[in-house]
Formats: sequence, structure tokens, C-alpha cells
Amino acid sequence: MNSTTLQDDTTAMPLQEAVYPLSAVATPPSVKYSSFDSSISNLRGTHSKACCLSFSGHQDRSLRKRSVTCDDCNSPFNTSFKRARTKSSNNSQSIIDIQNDTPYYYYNTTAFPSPSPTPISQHPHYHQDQEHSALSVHHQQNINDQPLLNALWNMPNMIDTFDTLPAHMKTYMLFQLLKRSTTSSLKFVNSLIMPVIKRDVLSCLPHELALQVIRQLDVRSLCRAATVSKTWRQIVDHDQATWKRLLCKDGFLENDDNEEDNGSFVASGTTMTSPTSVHEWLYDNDNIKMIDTKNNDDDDGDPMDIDDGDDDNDDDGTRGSSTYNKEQPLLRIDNPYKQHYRERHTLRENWRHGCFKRTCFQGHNMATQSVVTCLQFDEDKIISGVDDRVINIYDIRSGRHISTLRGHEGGVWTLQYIGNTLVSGSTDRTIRVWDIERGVCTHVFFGHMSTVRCLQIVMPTMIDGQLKPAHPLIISGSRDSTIRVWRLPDPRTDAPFDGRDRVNPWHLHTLTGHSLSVRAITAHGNTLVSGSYDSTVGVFDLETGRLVHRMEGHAQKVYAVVIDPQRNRCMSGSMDGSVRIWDLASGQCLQILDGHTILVGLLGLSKNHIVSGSADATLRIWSSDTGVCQHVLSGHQAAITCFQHDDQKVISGSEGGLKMWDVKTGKHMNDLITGVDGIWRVAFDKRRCIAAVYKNGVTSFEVLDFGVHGLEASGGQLDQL
Amino acid sequence: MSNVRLLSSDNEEFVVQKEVAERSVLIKNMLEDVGETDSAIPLPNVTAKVLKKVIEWCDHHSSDPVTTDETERRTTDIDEWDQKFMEVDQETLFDIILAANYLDIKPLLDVGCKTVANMIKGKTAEEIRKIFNIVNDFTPEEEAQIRKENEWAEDR
Repeated sequence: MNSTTLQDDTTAMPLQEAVYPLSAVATPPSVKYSSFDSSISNLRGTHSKACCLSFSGHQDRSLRKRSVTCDDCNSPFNTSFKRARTKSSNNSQSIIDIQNDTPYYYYNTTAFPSPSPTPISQHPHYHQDQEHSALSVHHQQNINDQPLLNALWNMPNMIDTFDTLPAHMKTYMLFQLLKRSTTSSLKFVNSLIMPVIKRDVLSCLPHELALQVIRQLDVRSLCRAATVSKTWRQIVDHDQATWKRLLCKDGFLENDDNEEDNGSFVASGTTMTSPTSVHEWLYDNDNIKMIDTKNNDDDDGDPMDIDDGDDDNDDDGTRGSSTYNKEQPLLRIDNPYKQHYRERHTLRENWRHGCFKRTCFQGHNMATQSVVTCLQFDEDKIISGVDDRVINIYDIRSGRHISTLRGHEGGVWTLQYIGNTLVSGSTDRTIRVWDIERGVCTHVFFGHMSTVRCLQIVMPTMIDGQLKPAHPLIISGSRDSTIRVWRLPDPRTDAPFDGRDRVNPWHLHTLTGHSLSVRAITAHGNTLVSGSYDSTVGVFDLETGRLVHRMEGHAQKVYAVVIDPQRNRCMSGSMDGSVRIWDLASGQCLQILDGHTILVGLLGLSKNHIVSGSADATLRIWSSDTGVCQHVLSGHQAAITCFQHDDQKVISGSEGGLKMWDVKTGKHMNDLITGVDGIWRVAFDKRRCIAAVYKNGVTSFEVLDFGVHGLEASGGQLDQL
Repeated sequence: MSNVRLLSSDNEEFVVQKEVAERSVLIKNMLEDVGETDSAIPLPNVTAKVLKKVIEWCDHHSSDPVTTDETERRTTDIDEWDQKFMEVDQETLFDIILAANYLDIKPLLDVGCKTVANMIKGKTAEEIRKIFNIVNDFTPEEEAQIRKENEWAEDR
């Protein structure tokens, strides 16, 4: 086998190089003696041969293993050595490798002799080198040594002998030689061998095994691996399965369950952003193919076979257009999962590090001292309600004022929109339904006897195989101590209704049971929870309109309620400084969360956390499972006026500015806005944080866009993350 | 306890306990198909050197419960013995992975792949090139582009 390989190689080489004069062994012009220890310097020829033979042994192995292995393992040689051939007298072949200029190997500094008949005469050249003169003298003496000369003359025979030995005896002989070598020789040999026995494992492995390797890598390692070589880049960047798995693992690819969870945690204390109804194509796209390379035409399906690098690219349909070819420019590898991961990862890092682009614009036509009472936004627009009767719509990118919805005769204190339908409640006791695009009010609901303080659109949710409620509803809470339930009109298709003198066909129920102002309401399915200034928390059935529980316990007014459908509980925050957890089934108080010293006006709930905002200038993070207080967020100087949170962070506003906190550690992460007199409202989504702020009596909007750091080009796609 | 004879590609014969050999699903299936046999099972894709190594692994793990749960295998790290076992040169590591794949010994394949992954983890591209002796075949412009494409994953 070995000799076959050599034979093949040899036949290609010019014959005139087949003579290898001994003199060349003795005094190569370019050898630096320092590189060798003196005792072996004269055996350099043998040395080179030995090395060479060990390579050819390797090469032999590679060939047996198909071409890519061979290519891979030989490439260092091909680049580092020019091959010269010698044919010794008895016709057995051997190879002398001659160093050329690749700066890769130790060979560089220990140049091997080209066969040249320049013997002792050149030695004075080395004498000039003081450092090595002693060696050279020693060397000269050795040359004159008769036994040594004889040995040198015999060397070609030794090599031929070696060549004819069977493999295991070659190994034995090499072992004997190595055993007799000095440390520096061994180091030299080692420097030759190490690169050779290394191998580009990832490129050499069958593709599906390479994928099994990269599956184990973290994101940073993956990205670094993609920059190692063209082949590695192909492997990493083409593998959609690994990137999809990472998306799931790091919580970037919400499944439907999660989405439902998020949607159902409805808080009354903070304004909700629009529900995420957009289902990315990505989530639906299940036809992720594991890239399969085992369908090589020339492959007998044998897993031990090593695919040739080139044909690996051809055999796979999924690689198609971006088939890698050394001559072509570097093509973009389109991997939507990696792309998606990059965006989500960068976005998260931007939030974490407080990297955002800030734009600020003044509230439209606002009287001094006007209060932004409610705020909701999406990827296109910001809609805010003001206590001076109007609702303003702004372009989120430019801050340009798009339109003003006029009609309320008193301050707007609550609003929510879904799609094109906006619902608002006012001190004028009415509820108005608006067509956002056309900027007109289509429905006016009368009925409440006093200010509409809170409202919510309740969309049907699939519960136990049934949509609950059966239709989209509006629920409204008023200072008149009642809650009213209305069907939600569609401003485009339903006939306008201004309602004054007729029975309102949209009205379903009036829920009674509270004795004072209803300050907060929230609902999920057919369960409505209300918090009232009468210090009680009410639970109503939306379908029947009946009071289910009237839960007493708070010592003072209830300001905020949230509902937790997963645990069938609700929570309430009160002026008595406590948060209470109630069981929706029994109406019992399960837990009292003490800690805040005064009014708890704001509550938020996510899968793992209850967050409460208080007038005592702190927020508290509680476990939603156990009710244990995990963190107290202190840093604000005055009452918390607004906040929102998600699985990562809490963003809270108070006098002076807006702060961001890590929801898991409770640590202060960033001051997002400073130097203002106060924050009216704050809301954020995955990309942006919007705050309505006031300073020196002027109300303005701050848009913090975290879609930066390479995400600018992602444009609208990012909004749908 | 019956024994099984295995024949390496270079015609070396190994006598192995049946339950050890059956860590290989390939061999297990073969034995089931063939039934009791006295003839050696030829493994034309595994050399004696690698086969010896593989048998050593199978022997050590012969009493492991057979895990079919992919996620369980994925999350568990390499145990100490396996780590030591995998302290081999890259050539051998490569051969072990191929052999494990051919012989269908998933846990061993897994350990092999994880070992390679661990050699990559946390390293810079240049370090990876050094470790595996890979030539950087990007032009400087391409390398700049490729680095820019991937720099987002670096710590800030």
C-alpha cells in the first residue's frame, strides 16, 4: 500500500532529481546549525527521510479513507514542501521533501538541503556566525572521522532497508531511532508530526455527524466557528435545526402556550400594549429539514466513508444556490433562524445594556398641565388619552402628529384599542368607539352616571373548548360604583350609534355590588375582577352578569387588580399598603403580601412574578407561585406613577425619570430617562419603550428604540418579533 | 455468558462478551438476525486499534441503562471516565466517532461529538484553526465580512 502511494507520486517527478549526492547531506548551504543538535546534524538526510516517511505513512492511510481525508491531511505538505524525488541505486523509491517558503512549519528555520554538490568548502560561511562556530568545527572533525563517513555512505541503504520493512517493523525502527534521539530532535519531529495528526474533524466528518457536534455549541462558539473557514461557515450557517433549537432554548421562539399566557395576564394598573396577533411565518414553518448528506450518489451509504468536501456541496438540495466554490465570492447564507436569533439576541442585549435611539417630540396642541392619562402603541403609532378631552395619534417613527380624535366632553381617563377599533372612557360619563384610520367616532354609549374610570376590551379566549366570552366585549368601571358590559362594535361594519334617545343594543349587563367608585377592572374569559374604593374586590360572571364573590379584607380603597387564570387567582393592591391574593373559586383570601408602607396603586403579573408599584417610592417583585417577596426595587425618589414588566425587566416611572430593573435579580440596570419632572405613563414592547413625560409644565413623548446595533436595517420585520 | 467474536478490518479477532458487544446496535441486530453463530462478525470499517478502543468503552459501559431519550443524553455532560477515555489524538477521536456511528453506539457517538464540541467551545476562530490545523481560506476582505456577520454574538 505504502509503496503504491509512493510509486504514484514518484512517477510524476523528474528523473534528474533522482540523484542524491551525499555531499549535500553533509553541508547544505542554508541550514542553520542552531536548529539541530550537533550529534545529528550529519544525519540530516536520514532525518528528513524519516520524517518524510512518517508522512507518507499517514498519507497512505488517508488515501484508504477517501479523498477528503487525503486532501486534508496532505494539504500542509503540499503547501509546505516541494517534493523532490530520489531514486537510489537499487531502484527503491524514497521521497525527500524540500522546504519551500510556507511560514507554517518549523522547517522554515531549519531548511532542508536541496541536493547540491557543495561540500566542506562552504563551511567558512558558518564560521562567521560566532555562535555556531564551535559546532561547525565539531562538525568538520566528524566529517573526517572515518567510521562516520562509512556510516554516511551506508545511509541510502539504511533508508532502502527501512522502505522494504513491513509497517509494524517500520514503527519499531522509528521507535528505536526516536529512542536514541535528543530532546531537541524529538521536539523537531514533534513539530512536524503534531500538525499532521491534527485534523479538521468538523470538515472531515460526514455532514450529519458534524451537525451533531455543532448542536452542542453555544451561540458565541457557533458564531466563532462560522468564521474559521469556508467549510465551517457552510456547516454552521446552513444548519437551520441548530439555530431553531437555540431560538426555543433561549425563549426567542414563543410557542402558542406562551403567547396565550402573556395575553391572559391582563392588568388594570398599566395600559396594555396591543396583543400580538401577528403570527410570524417562522413559527408556522415546521418543515425544517435536517440537512442530510447520506444520499450521495457515489456513496454506498456506509457511515465509515468520509465524504469528499467538494461533492458534499453538490449532493444536497438544501444547499443549492449557495453551493460553495473556492473561486466564487463569498455568498450570503440565508438562514432565517440564525437571522431571527441574531435580531432577538441583539435586541435583548440592547435592552440589557441600555442601547437605544432616542427621539423626543412634544405633545400635540396640549395645554400646559395636561395629563397623559393613558398610552398604547404599536409598530406604527402611539395613541394617548389626555385629561383635556382629546385622544392624539402620533407616528411612532417620526413623532409626527397624525390625528386628534375629538368628541369627549370631558377628560379621557382610559382607552384601549385592538386593530382599528379604539374604545375610550371619559369624565363625560360616556364610552366612545372610534375608527382609528378614518379618525371618526362611530359609537357613543351612555349609561354610566359618573366618570368612566377604567375599561377593557375582552376578546374571546378558548377555554375548555369554548370561546369565552362568546363575543368581544367592552367592560367599563365607573365612579357610579357600577360596571357595565357591552358588546364591542366594529366601527367599519356596524351602523353608527349615538345612542341618546334609544335603548342601547350594545349594552348587555350592569354589574352591581360595589358601594363606591370602581377603580380597576380586568377580565379573562367570563370572569371579571373589580377593585373598588369600597375596599372590596368583586368577582363577576360576564355571561350572567351576576356577582360571584364580594371579597372583603382590605382596610382601604382598592386601586389595582390583576387576574391569574392559570392558578385561578386574582390579586389586588390597596391603599392599605398590602397586596392580597384571592382564590377565584372560593373567594377566600389566600395570602396577604405585606411590605409596602403606603398605597399600592399599580400591579402587574407575569408567569413567574407579581410586581407591585407603590406610593412609597418602591416596587416589589413577588413570586406568583408562593407570594414570597423576592426583591424590593428602591431608587426612585417619589411615588411610582407607572410601570410595566415582562420576563426580563421592570421599567418604572416616577418623579425624576424612568428606571429599568432586572426582574430576576432585582438589580437596577439603567436610568432610561433622567432630568424630567415626572413620567405620566410608560409602555414597552419587544422593540420600543414609550414614555409620556413632563418637564417645566410641558408634556412630551420619549421614544426609546432598542432596534439598534445592526438592527436598523431589519425595519418592519423587527416590529413583529 | 456467551461470547461474540469480532473481526476488525485488518483481520484481528476480538472475543467479547455478548452484552458488551451488544452496546452496538449494529452488532445487536446482526446477532438477532443471524442467531447463534460461531463465525466471527466482520467489521470491515473498523481497524483493530479503534475496535479495541470501542470495546474498552463498551465494556466500561456495559451495565449502563440504555437511554433512548435524546434530551437526557443531550443535557448530561461527559462523565469523568469518558473524558479520560477521550483523551486521545484527533485522528483516533475522529475514528472513534466514525466507528461509533457505524456500529450505532449512540452514547459513544454522543460523547465523541461532545468532546469535539468542547474543543471548540469558548475558543476564538484563530485558536480553533490552530487546534485543528485548519487553513484560513478567507481573503482578508471575506474575513472582515464574515467577522462582521458574526460579531453580534460576542459579549459586549
